[in-house]
Amino acid sequence: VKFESIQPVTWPVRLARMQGSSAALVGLGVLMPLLAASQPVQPIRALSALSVLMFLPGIAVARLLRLGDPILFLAVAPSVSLALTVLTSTGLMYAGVWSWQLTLALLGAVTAAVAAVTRPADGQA
Amino acid sequence: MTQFAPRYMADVSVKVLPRPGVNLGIGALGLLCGGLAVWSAAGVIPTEIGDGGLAPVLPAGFWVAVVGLNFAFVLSLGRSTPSWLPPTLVAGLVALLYAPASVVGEAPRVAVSWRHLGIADDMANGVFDPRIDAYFNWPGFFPGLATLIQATGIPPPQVAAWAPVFNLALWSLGVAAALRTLTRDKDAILMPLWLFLIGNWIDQDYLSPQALGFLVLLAILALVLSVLGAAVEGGAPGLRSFWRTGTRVPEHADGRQRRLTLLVVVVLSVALVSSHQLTPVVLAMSLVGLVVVRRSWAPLLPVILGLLLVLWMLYPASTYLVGHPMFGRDEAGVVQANLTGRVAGSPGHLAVLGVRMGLTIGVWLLAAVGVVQSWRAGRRDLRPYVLAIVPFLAVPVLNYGGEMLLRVTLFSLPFVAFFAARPLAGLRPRWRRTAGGLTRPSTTRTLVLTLLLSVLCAASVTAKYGNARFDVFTKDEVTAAGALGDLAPAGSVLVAGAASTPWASQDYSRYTRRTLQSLCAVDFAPASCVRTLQDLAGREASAGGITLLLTRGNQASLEVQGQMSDEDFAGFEARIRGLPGTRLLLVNRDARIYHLSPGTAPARSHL
Repeated sequence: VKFESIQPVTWPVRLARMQGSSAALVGLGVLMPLLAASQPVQPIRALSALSVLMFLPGIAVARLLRLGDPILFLAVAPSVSLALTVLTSTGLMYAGVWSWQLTLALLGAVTAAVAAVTRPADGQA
Repeated sequence: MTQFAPRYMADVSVKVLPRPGVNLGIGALGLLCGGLAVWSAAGVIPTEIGDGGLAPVLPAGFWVAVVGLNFAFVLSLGRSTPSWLPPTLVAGLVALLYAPASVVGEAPRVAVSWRHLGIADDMANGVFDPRIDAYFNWPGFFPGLATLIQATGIPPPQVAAWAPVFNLALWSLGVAAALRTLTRDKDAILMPLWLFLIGNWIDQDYLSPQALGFLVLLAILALVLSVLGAAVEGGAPGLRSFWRTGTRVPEHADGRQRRLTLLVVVVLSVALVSSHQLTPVVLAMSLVGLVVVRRSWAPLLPVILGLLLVLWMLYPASTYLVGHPMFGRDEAGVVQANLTGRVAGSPGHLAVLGVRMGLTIGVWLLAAVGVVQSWRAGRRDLRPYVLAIVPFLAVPVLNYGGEMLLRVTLFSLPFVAFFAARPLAGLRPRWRRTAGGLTRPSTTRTLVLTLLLSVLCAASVTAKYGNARFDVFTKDEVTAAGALGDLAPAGSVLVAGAASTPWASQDYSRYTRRTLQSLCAVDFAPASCVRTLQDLAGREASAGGITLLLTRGNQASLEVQGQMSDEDFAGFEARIRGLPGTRLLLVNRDARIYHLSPGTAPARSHL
């Protein structure tokens, strides 16, 4: 019996095994909301916030779906991102806890989570 | 994606070897023309725009750009091209047709986009009450907009000004993705996309829930037609027996990917249902159509969407739906509300309306020819037929303030354009080899198609910007509208001359807002309109009176739409000034603000 095989896989190990692009998405999902929340000068602030609101979550989801057609990928990624922005911000407003920083943080978390569970074969668009 | 429909234009992608650098030149010409058009349009002075809208005052440079861009486009047809060329040309057309909306005038055009900014601002400040109006019952778009504005730090008017270009760039991707599920023929995708951009004069691409809804609808359709699509194998396709011949099989073999995609489509659907009344209903109808023709591997999807719709109407939107039924005909009747009721106004405006109807009917006629050609050519893929026709079934069913015909025209346009492109495909240039081994396009076909597309582009600009005399704003109008809230006494009802007012971008829910256009709809005669205002002052505005905003655009709107001539408008304003207790609060080049005290109400006879 090889006991090593039942040792739990830690997050650093999982990240190390991750595809480069998935790891990059996890990093961007963490970094970009923080960068936007720090309210840097324009256009860095606008670009960092737009990347979270319009692209990153959708790119993570589109990679997970393994959309073979690049045009389909390009159409679905912003649509999913905007839909998630709508759902997150609306949900927070109904809950009475809306803030743009929290919305960005949740969208960054979605990006990181979806990218982290994307298997190498999934990411090959 | 394992199977695609046969090519609709079988002879399209000819392998040719144009002169070295030709493709680069065509791409550069496309971008140059897009830039020239934007630069030319930016020079237009709003106050010089007449009843015919923007087109008559655009400089010659704009029209040169129209012809040049269409020439570049035609030179990319009938042969294989590098993959970067079609998107480059489409970017040029988006700039040419839609960036004028961003650069003409001194502030974002279309009054509704100002209102949408105000709703987002209210929601960001904690106002989230479904009793206010329909927007607060389908709020999804606005918290998203509030997040975007506050997180990016971009000034709200800039967000509104550039929304059309941004939306059309995304819509183009969505239309291309949907069409690529029907064919992989480059021209059979590019030509319908070109026609879609030209035919979309409907002006729903401003900062609005509809623009977001249409994007999500396109993404859902593209996913349903591809990953969640079904094909029928082993049967002879045809109208009489399509529902029972052959075996329905999934287009996408991987069950896990299909389930994940279905989950994503449901998430998209929830966002859509929370953001817009109309779009999910039309989407559900289209999805039912795809199930009926056996081309969907997710037959429960329309049921899920229907359940989401019902749940949303039962709970979050129930406040609004009491007294505002979604389903049912307009009281004025379908034809009157959607068509004949809109055909009125000055001669210039009537000409614009004629161009709008002509462009729409022209595209529909081309599509009808394309349908016949496709059917005769044995194309029995029923998906584009369904997606082009089904949205129109919503016209007599849904009550949408007389706008249903315009909206369903937009929903069906990508697939109507798919068929409309087919007859035009016969005009593409034929490429011939020269003695040197290089290829050249046939001159006559190139020029004829360039001319035809240029005329359609000119009609599109005329139709889209036909209301520019009153929906393009000056700085003074925006300043006056912005000052209205500060100048209005507490409890005052705000009244503007017409709906074309750049107001409500702040304090949306704080004031009751009315327009002369709706208040005086029964009788626009100056004396009658003043009496209506006096009644309002006595009835609804007893605490704070009426704060009345009259702008250049208001006057133009009333005059262009045949409701109040310039003389009548001047007479109306003179009577307002003459009322006892009326005060002039603000005056600038393009606007005046008056306050009518509650005491201006006419004496009532007691019989």
